[in-house]
Amino acid sequence: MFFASVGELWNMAGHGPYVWFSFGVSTLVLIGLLLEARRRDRSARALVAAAARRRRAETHTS
Amino acid sequence: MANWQWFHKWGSPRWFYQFSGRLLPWLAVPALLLLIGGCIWGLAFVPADFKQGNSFRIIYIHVPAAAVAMGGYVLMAVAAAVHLIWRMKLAAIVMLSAAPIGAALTFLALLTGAVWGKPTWGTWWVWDARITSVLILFFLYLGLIALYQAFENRDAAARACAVLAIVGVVNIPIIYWSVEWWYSLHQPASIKFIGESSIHPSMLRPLMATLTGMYLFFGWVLLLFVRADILERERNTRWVQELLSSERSGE
Amino acid sequence: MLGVMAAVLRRDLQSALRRGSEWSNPLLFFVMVCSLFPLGIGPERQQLAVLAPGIIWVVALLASMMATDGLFRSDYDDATLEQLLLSPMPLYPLVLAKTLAHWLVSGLPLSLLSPLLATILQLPVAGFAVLLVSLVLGTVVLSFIGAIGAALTVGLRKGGLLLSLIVLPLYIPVLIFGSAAVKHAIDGAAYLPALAVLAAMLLTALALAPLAIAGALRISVDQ
Repeated sequence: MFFASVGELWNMAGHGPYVWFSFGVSTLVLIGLLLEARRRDRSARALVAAAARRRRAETHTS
Repeated sequence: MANWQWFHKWGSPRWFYQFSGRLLPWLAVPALLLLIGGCIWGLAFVPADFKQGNSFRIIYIHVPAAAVAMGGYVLMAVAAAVHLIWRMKLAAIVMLSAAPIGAALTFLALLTGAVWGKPTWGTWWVWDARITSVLILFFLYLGLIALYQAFENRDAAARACAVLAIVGVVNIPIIYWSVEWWYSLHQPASIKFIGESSIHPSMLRPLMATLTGMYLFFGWVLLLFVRADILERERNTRWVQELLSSERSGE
Repeated sequence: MLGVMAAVLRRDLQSALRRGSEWSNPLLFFVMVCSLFPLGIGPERQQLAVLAPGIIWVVALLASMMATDGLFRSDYDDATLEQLLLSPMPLYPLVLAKTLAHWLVSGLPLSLLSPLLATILQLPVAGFAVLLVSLVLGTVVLSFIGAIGAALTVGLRKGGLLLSLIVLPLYIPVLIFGSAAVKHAIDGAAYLPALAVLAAMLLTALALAPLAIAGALRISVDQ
């Protein structure tokens, strides 16, 4: 490791807040994209299930 | 006619859904390994820059985000052209799925650029040529998303966005070149930046890792968005119904 | 082909002149917003002189954009646009003629009015001629880019603000080179290169924009 201790890694000679904030927000945005992908998948699956129910109801009535 | 078989195959949502399902782990695993590994490498093991100190480590997320956001716009425009010329529905789905991902990455590039600016130049925002270009790219993405949301008819919305994406990609080189020229005109001497020539090879290798990782991540999330959209659009077809009922019974 | 273009040009010019507000409102906007700036910034002559090229160019850009919003609106509402699209004529010359007619009643008067605003904003006299020429060249490009946005949004109920979101990023190169030409002229530097770039943008817009406008109109009418 370049830094002598974990404390120094955290502090980064004063630049720590900027660096860690950047990487923290980046992690959040990338995870957010994955969560959005899951949300889209779930809502699509719900619509597929609704379409299946509608079709079953139609075949029953006809 | 045989030459066109691949095209119809690629244009078929069903085939693409199955194919992309097999592709997903090959994108997801290397994307995560490269992003996480590259970030740890860049954060903890690379020596500090002798001019900027440790703030330069933001490069490992800033540059990949900016580069992939840029590449995402080009990909979107290519998909737009395919959609307009051959009326391929899948291309429209790819184009529309790429827009929010690209916008998110552009936002990330702007934010990390600003945070990088504070310890490096002493100010949150610099009207530097590259940051300004990324800002304009962000506006282009947002304009496209706003246009899509304004339409009620989905097909018309996709075609209108396709026209706008192509107009945008034709303009991007002109915009970038104009901004470069504008910056060279006004460049204040105080913020003459280090330039990439001074970057050390040991600093470059983790950057290559996170850059590749970010491209793979973009591809991964893009496929996930496209697959969800395919399911939604094809929800009344037999293959989707059968696929989901077999998945449910399999669980 | 030229006959049809001339007919479209004449018809659009006549209808624009009949409805005076269509061409006078953007001009009024241009004058009013430009005269707001000294009230916001302060009346110091030196300061205004430095800012004048940028102010005039930005406001001209906004006025031109607001004018393009109505470019296809009336033709869309009374179904003239549909007729034009159904006609066997190629769309390219039609769209070219319509956009040029629009520029003649929006961009051109705006450019001709600019020396007046340059006087109010204390622009040094050395910049007057270049301001006029740069606006004449630049507003043609603005009209063509704006027409793409107008064609994309003409079928939508709330087009106005959306048009600005689509079009403003694309206006940036024109703004950069237009205001730079004026600044160079004031500083005594070479302003011809910037004007040449504007002229090159004009030719590119003339060649390519009508294709995009025609495609966008087809989409807006089809939906």
